Amino acid sequence: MTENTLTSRIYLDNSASTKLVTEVLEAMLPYFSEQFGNASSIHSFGQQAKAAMDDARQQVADLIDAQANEIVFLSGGTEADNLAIRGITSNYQGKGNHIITSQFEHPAVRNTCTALEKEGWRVTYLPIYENGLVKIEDVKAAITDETLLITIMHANNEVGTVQPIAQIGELVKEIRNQRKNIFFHTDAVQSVGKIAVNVKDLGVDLLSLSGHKIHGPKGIGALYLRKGVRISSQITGGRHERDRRAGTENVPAIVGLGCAAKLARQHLAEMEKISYLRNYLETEVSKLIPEIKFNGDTSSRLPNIANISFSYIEGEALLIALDLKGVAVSTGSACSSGSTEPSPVLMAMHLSKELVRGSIRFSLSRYTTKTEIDYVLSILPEVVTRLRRVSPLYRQAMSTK
Amino acid sequence: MPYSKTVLDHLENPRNVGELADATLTSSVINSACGDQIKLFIKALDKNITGVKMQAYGCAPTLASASLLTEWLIDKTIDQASLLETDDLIKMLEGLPRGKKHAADLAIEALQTALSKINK
Repeated sequence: MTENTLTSRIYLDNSASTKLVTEVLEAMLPYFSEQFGNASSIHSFGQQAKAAMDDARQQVADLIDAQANEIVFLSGGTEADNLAIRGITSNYQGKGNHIITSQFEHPAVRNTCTALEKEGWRVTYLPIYENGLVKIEDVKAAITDETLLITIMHANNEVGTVQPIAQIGELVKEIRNQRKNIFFHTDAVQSVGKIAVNVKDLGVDLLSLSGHKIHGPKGIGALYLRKGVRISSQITGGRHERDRRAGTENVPAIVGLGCAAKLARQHLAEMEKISYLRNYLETEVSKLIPEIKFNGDTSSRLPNIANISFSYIEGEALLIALDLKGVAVSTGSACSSGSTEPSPVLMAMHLSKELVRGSIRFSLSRYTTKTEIDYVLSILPEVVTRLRRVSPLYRQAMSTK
Repeated sequence: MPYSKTVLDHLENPRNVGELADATLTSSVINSACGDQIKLFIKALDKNITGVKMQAYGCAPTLASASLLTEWLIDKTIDQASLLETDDLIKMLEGLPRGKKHAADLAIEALQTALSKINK
C-alpha cells in the first residue's frame, strides 16, 4: 500500500471529460492564429484549413473503420445524437412513425425521443435488466412495420455496460432485406477510444462520438453517416459538411478531434492495462469495505468504469468527502446533479433507491496510474466508515444484525 | 467546491455523532422528496440543554446542518432553541448553494419536532 500522501489531485471522472493531451493542443494551436482561414474559401488560407480538416476527417474515420466522407463534424455528442434522430425522422417522414430506444439512454437521446413523442412519433423504451443490458429478444419483439429508427447506446455512461449492438445490427440488416426504410443509430460517445469500435462490425447506419471524451477538445464531435443514408440538416444556413450541418467549421477543434482520434487508435491496446487497474480497484475495495454492490454486467463492460454502491451512505456526501482528499469521482445520486430523481440509469437497472443514492462511478483513463489507485484505496475505507458512523440507516442495520 | 469551509469542516469532522441514552427529547425526520434523514437526541434539564447528539443520512449540507445544529444547541435554553430558524442555520453554515436550503430546513424540522414533545 502506498503511503497516505498526495502530491496532486487524482482525476477518476474520465467518463465526464478527459484531459486534453499536449500533442492535441499543439496540433490545434496554429489553427487559432496563422492558419485562420475559412475552410470554404478557395484561396490558400482557406485551402490550408480545408486540407487540415480533410486529414482530421480521415483520422476520425480510421478510428471507427469508416470512409472520410461518412463523417460529419459538429459541436459534440449531444448535437450528433440530435442530428441522427431528428435528421432521420424528418428526412424519412411518412416512411414510418415508430422509434425504438432504451430506458437508460443519455439525455441527448432520451429527451430528443421524448420531444418527438410530443410531435406524434411513437417511441418504445426498451427495458434494462439488472445487469445493465438490453435484450436482443426485446428489440426483436418491439420492431413493427412502422419502425423507422432504432437508437441504442453502445456503452452506458454510468455503468459502462456494452450493449449487443452488433446483434441488433444483424437484425436490422435482415429486416432491411424486406423493406429499406429502417435505420440504426448508436451513441458511442463512451465506447470510442475505450474499446475497438468498427461501424461495419456493429452494422450501424449512424454513430455519435465526442472529442472531449477521448482527450480531445470540448465543443467538437462527429456523426458517422453510412454512405447512402440521408438526413435533413437541422440548422439552416450555408452548405457546409455537404449540406448536413450548416455553420463555419470549427477548424482548430476539428484538428484536435482528428489528432485525439489518431492517438486513441494508437493507444487502444493500452486499454487492457486500464481494465487491469479497474479490476484491481474493485477487488481491493471489496476486500476493504463491506456492504457494497458492483453495478453492471462484468462480462460486457468498458475497461475503464467501476460503478460501486456503498450501502447506508449518500453518494454526494461521499463525492465531496473524496474531493476534499483530492479524488474526483461522480455519483448517481440526485443530490449532485440538481435533479430531484436519482440516476434513471441505475433506477432502470432495478437498484433500490438507497443503493442508487450510494453509487459512485470511478472512471479511469489511459493516464491513470496504479499509484493513484493505491492512494484511493488508502483513503476510501476511512471516508466510508466516517459517513456510515453518522448514518442512522447504518446504525439501524447493524443493530438488527 | 460548491460548499463553504464551515460545511466542509462539519462534513469532515461531524460533531456530536451518536445517540443519548438519557435524552429527554428526541426526533427522527425524513425529507420525503429526497430521502434525507436526521435523528436528534436532546437532554434538557430545567429548560437548559445539557447534551445533544445526532445521526444524519443525506448529502453534505444535510450532514453539516445536523452537525452544526448540535454544536449550537449545547448550553442554550429551550426558549432560545425554539427561536432558531432555517436562515440562522444557513448563516452559521456560511451559506448554502441554491437548491440546498432543504438541508437546513430538515435540521430545523428535527429540532422543532423534538421541542414539540415538551410536556406531552
